[in-house]
Amino acid sequence: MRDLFKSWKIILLLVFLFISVLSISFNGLRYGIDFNGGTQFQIHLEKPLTSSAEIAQVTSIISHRLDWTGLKDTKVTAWGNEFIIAQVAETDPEQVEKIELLLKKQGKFEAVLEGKTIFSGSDILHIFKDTSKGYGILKQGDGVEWRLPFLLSEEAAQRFTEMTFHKCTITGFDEAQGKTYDCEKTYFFIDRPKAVILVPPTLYQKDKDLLLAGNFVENIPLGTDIDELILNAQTPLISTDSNISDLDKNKLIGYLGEFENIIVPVDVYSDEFLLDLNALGFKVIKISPEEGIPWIWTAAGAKEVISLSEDVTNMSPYIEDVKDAKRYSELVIRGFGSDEQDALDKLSNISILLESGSLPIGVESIGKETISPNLGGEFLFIVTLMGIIALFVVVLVLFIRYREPKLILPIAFTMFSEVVLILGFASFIKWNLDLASLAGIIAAVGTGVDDQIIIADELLRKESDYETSFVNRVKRAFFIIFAAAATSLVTMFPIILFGFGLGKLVGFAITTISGVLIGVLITRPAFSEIAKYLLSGKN
Amino acid sequence: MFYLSFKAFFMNSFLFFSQVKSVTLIFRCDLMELYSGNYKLYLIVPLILTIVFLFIVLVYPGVQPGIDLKGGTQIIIRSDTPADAVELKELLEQKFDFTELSINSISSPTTHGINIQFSGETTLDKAKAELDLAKSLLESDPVQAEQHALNSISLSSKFFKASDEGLKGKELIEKADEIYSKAKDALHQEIKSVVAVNFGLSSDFFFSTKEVPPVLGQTFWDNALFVSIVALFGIIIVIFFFFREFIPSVAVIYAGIFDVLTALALMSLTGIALGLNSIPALLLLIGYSVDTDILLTTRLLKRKDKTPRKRVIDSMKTGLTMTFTTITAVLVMLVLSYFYQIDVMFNISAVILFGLFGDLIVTWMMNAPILLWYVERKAKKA
Repeated sequence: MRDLFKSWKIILLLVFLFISVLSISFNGLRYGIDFNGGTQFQIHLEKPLTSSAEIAQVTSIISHRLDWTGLKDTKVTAWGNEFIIAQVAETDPEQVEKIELLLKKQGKFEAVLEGKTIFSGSDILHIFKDTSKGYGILKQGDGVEWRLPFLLSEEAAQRFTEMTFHKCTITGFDEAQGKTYDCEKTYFFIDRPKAVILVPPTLYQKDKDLLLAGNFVENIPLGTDIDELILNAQTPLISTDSNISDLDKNKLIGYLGEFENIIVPVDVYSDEFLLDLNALGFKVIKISPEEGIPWIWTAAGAKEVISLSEDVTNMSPYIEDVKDAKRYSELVIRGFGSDEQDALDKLSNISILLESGSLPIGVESIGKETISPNLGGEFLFIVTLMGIIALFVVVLVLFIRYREPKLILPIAFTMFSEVVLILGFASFIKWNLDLASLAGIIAAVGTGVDDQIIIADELLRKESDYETSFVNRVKRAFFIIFAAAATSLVTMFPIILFGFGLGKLVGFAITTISGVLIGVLITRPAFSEIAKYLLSGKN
Repeated sequence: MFYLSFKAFFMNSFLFFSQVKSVTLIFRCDLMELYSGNYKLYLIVPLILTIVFLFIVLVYPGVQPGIDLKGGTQIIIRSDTPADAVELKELLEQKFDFTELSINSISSPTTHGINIQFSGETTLDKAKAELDLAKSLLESDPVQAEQHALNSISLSSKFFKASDEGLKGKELIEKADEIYSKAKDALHQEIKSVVAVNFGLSSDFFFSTKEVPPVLGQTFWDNALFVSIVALFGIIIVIFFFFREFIPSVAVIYAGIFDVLTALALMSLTGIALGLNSIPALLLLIGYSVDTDILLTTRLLKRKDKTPRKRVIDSMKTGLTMTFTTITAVLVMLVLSYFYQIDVMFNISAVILFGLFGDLIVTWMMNAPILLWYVERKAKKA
């Protein structure tokens, strides 16, 4: 027995088993929508993307668009250069359809100052992504500054100059830096709603405090004023509970001509109240609040607050009359990040925002698959059961055939190890296991058994006229095993290399390939060692 | 002793064989005598089957492409009571104008399910066509484009009432797209509620929906076809590399193709669609089932002990054990996934099982005779 544990083949198996168990316990196994429930969108682009930078851009735009909806746990991956797969936990058909629209539609970007739109996405002619125009990040003292230059159309530049003229006040004077200014803030929106916002007083107060406190992740600066936000969102806001006062009700009725939608937080107002709103002639849109993020900020579609600077407002150098104002068509947005990565992230966020989350290439069509969570949960249990029963039945068949526990035990152990190793590999590469990939595991383990039968039959041969050396017999067995493994690999590899968009195929291929490789390289050599050891004792 | 237990094993497994008549013929005779007579006669069986299967796959009833590959919508609903598919079909056809509607109700001892599939709904398809026209005309002829967008909206309004809100140009088309999506969603909801009402389901019933636009289906199909062709060439290269002899290599490759053909033929007969689930299973099948062929070929060509005929019998013992363990494992998958209606697993396991049946035939009735003949003729020459 001690000899057995000295063999490097056995040690290799044990080491990998250990690593797999570690990986599974630390990384956990990830399950796709087949088991967790959820929706998967297959987005087919009109034209193939041409570079990996473009692919990264498209995936990042799509995942930003999904983030903006307040959805958590979204996963966006590119399959090849023509497909984007987006996975969300949502299964409510109405929400799913909303997300589908969002994926198809271009977001409308607006920069708003004092309740008036100063420019929108269509006014931006170009974003300069070259360093000669100032694009990029620059280390400045403790932080890192990022800069994003862009070009406005003639018309928008004119409007911008007039609307921002002298929107700064001088707040002080500093020997080293000269005058210091306090400038007005512009608010950036994506898909600013054309709706009345209804909010209960408690939530209003909570949001007010949250906005004042700022939120680093959501790009809400410290000291953001709720009234200023509402003004810039250009949406009327009424703070009321389900018992609406007559005054507020009349206000609402007054808005009817101009607005047809009302935005409310989910699960706050009574059903009767919402029906009343419908009866008045409004469509009610529900938006769910997220912990720590001001609900009003999400509801209004606000994305960023950016201060103007003294130069673009013609404060420095100071121009007396608006008629002589310098017109800036090339603008630069600047900001600070805590470190390089942070600055780069912010830079990319803002540039996506300015491009209004529009994809460089249109969406040809979207396929989708929804699985309700209760169904998925059951699937996982059944499939696990399936695996265990299959393992047991195979062992039973082999026992009937060989009647030799010494052989059956290592076969069962090897099968079990293969399952653990494949799962370990899946958790290591953070693969989302779906039904097809689990079928792949069963299939791979099935081939594994075939190979062990070949080894066992070679070792069990009794003919004395045949070479007696176990080593030679195992060698012969391995020729067959390698040939068989090579055919399995050669059928599965094309799926991984060219099977873009064929999501399910890829999952199946990945588990089978890893299973076959694990078998040939790790478990089968170890099995032949164990079998040789156990059977040579008998001979 | 060993031989006896082997025979007992076969008797137990007799059930599997009753499905493939030609194979049962073999096992009624003594195993050792199998290849003693004019074994070349066995070749007739796989040859005739090849022609029959080709007819089934290509002519009648033909392989059905699944919605993954041709586009369409699938809604699977679980229920506690068995559903009457015919009744439901009439009900849905009264309300909607579907193209290629098919409804299967599946009942297993544990659950009941309704599988609704259709490739489109006439009014919505028209709305989509108008929408596509509008999109393509937007640049060249905005007036026409707007007209088509309005047409699309009025068609969609059969399922989802909405106004064009007096929008123009691109925004109008986006609105039309939005209304179309909502109409599509409303249709799915209506189907589900028709089912729910008629079968008394609670509101949180188990369901899954899948929607594949035809264009996407076409792309999947092209892609899957390309992958399969690459895989086929890969196999040819690998087999020739390992064996380096023409006739044995061709026999192994033919065996792989025969397995796939058997699976496709039985899929056509049982109505299992060719989809994204069954394609990897078919590919795997090639790699999986040539195992036994490789085993047989290796033992026959590379070994010199005993007579070739005895070596065939030896390989057969190993090969049949291999195939049977796999068949039992796959049967477990098949039965459980049928009981619990796990569509994906059921398709994969059925395809593999079909292929393994084919493999039993082709390995022992074609590959073995061809190789024996090849080896014996070589020996005579030498």
